[in-house]
Amino acid sequence: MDNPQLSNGHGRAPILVAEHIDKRFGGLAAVTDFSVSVGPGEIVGLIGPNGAGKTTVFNLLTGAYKPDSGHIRAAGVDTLRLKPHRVTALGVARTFQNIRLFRDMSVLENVMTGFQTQCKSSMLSAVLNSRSHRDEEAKIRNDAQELLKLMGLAERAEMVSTTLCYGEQRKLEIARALATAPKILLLDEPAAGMNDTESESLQRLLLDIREKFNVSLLVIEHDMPFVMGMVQRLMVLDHGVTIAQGTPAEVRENPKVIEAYLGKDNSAA
Amino acid sequence: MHFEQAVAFWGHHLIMVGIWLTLTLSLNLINGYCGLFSLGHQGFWAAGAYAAAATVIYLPHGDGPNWLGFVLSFGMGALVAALFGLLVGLPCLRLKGDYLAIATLGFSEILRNVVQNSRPLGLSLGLSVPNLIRNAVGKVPNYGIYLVASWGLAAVTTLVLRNVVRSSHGRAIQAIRDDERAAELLGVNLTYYKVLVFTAGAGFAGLAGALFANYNSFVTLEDFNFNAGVLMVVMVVLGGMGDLLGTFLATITLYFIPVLLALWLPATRVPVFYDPTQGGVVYSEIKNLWQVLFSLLLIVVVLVRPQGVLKGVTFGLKARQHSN
Repeated sequence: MDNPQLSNGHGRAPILVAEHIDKRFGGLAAVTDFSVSVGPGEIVGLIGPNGAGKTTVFNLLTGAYKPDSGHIRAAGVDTLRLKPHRVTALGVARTFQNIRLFRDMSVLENVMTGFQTQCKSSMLSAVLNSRSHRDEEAKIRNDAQELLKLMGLAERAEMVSTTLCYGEQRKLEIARALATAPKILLLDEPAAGMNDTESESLQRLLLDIREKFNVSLLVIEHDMPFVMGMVQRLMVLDHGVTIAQGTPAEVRENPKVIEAYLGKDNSAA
Repeated sequence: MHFEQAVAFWGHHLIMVGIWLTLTLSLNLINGYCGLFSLGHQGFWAAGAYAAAATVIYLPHGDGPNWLGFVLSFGMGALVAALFGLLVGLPCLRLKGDYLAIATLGFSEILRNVVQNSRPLGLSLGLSVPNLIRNAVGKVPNYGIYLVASWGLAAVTTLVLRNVVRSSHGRAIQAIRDDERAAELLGVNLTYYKVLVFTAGAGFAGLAGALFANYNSFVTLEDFNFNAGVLMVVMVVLGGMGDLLGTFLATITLYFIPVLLALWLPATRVPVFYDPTQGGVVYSEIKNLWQVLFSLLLIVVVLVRPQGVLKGVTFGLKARQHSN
């Protein structure tokens, strides 16, 4: 990160920092020397052609994969030795490119599962169905319903999650991720499969969410108008290497990017 | 049937159904709710039964019945089985599907071999356990007491499971079944819940084993063989993975089918297959064909209703799974 203005959004301590991380799968260098720093409330985009290593970066940042070298800190804590559920507890939540809902649960239960890190009720008090346990369950249910309302899914609460249509399933994943009380939300192609109207309304929704929950966003997206229209800065990956970064305008002008990615499409953004 | 004979016959089977219910309900926690395919539940059952039997037999006591050993045997049965659950759960964390099934089956076979070669545990001959209750109250009241105990245990197991699966812990367990990766990225501690599920499921199977050892006053490895383990899995699958009411109905139905076949079917031998090495056509009693029936039933259910016979049936009420 050469430019301090870019690396530290609001001059406050960054939420999520990765420094020089490498990840190899056998002979394949999936991610090489990747660094990022996302400050509070910042919106950062991560773009690149298919197979560029974007989702691998998400897997590294959430602790699902461990980098071969480099450092990752979430909320100031080194996450290299932490299991993914501990990284989640530090405030890093994500959605998935290929939607991964809990298929045998209702829409509401999917969101309630997201409150896992905030559940204090012990196994014993659950078995005895104690007063404090019932109160906690009622609170979680209520909070989950609020999240569904925000995402426009309140009417769907009792439906089995996989019966929702595609766009609604994506929104449900966002609601579920928000339930973990994240400081940063990693969104893996949130607008995939949406038409222009839908992706515009999703964009507004995400900006609202950022305000309301004071959450930073790191967005992988192929939909250029969508990502260019909402992020403060962009990083471009190609074959695991960060080939460019900067504001959307800067990236758009960067010849390396045009060559590697946007160049394939003459109407670039 | 003579009164005492009838009590002995139906009493025995009703007590055994209560024990089997505890086994299938606790197996449903592991296989149905958490999606960890275990084929070793008979091992936990055996561990509980042998631990309880050994406690009653070997716990030092004065003259007269070993009541202290009797009381402690239930705790020991549950504890030893739960420890085995922990022991199996930890190394099995990295295994999934078929491999987990093989590992758990391997565990129960190892246990079998250990017992078979252990003189204090009766080698392959089995262990006789003094039946303190029967000696104290007589034959018929003995059935009454164990009937209440076995169905009481099944009821407690049901209640505990119902409360757990409706809680945040239950959601974590079911999230692991539906999508392990998504679950851990939502903050579910995979190690904790998987080991917990194995330990708790094994603990309940151990309690069922302790009850069985004390009631039956005789334990042998034949009671806990592979067929028993498979039968438990069939009951859970037919009733519906993660469906308590379905487990109840499937367990009761499948338990009584062979019992009633043996009771009602005339002793008729039918040809089952042709094997020249055994002198041509091989005959079998009709009543022994229940295993064929179960296998066919399992194939049909897996093809037609993979979620279980009853799962999703609402009986005119709101869906149980997604209500309130």
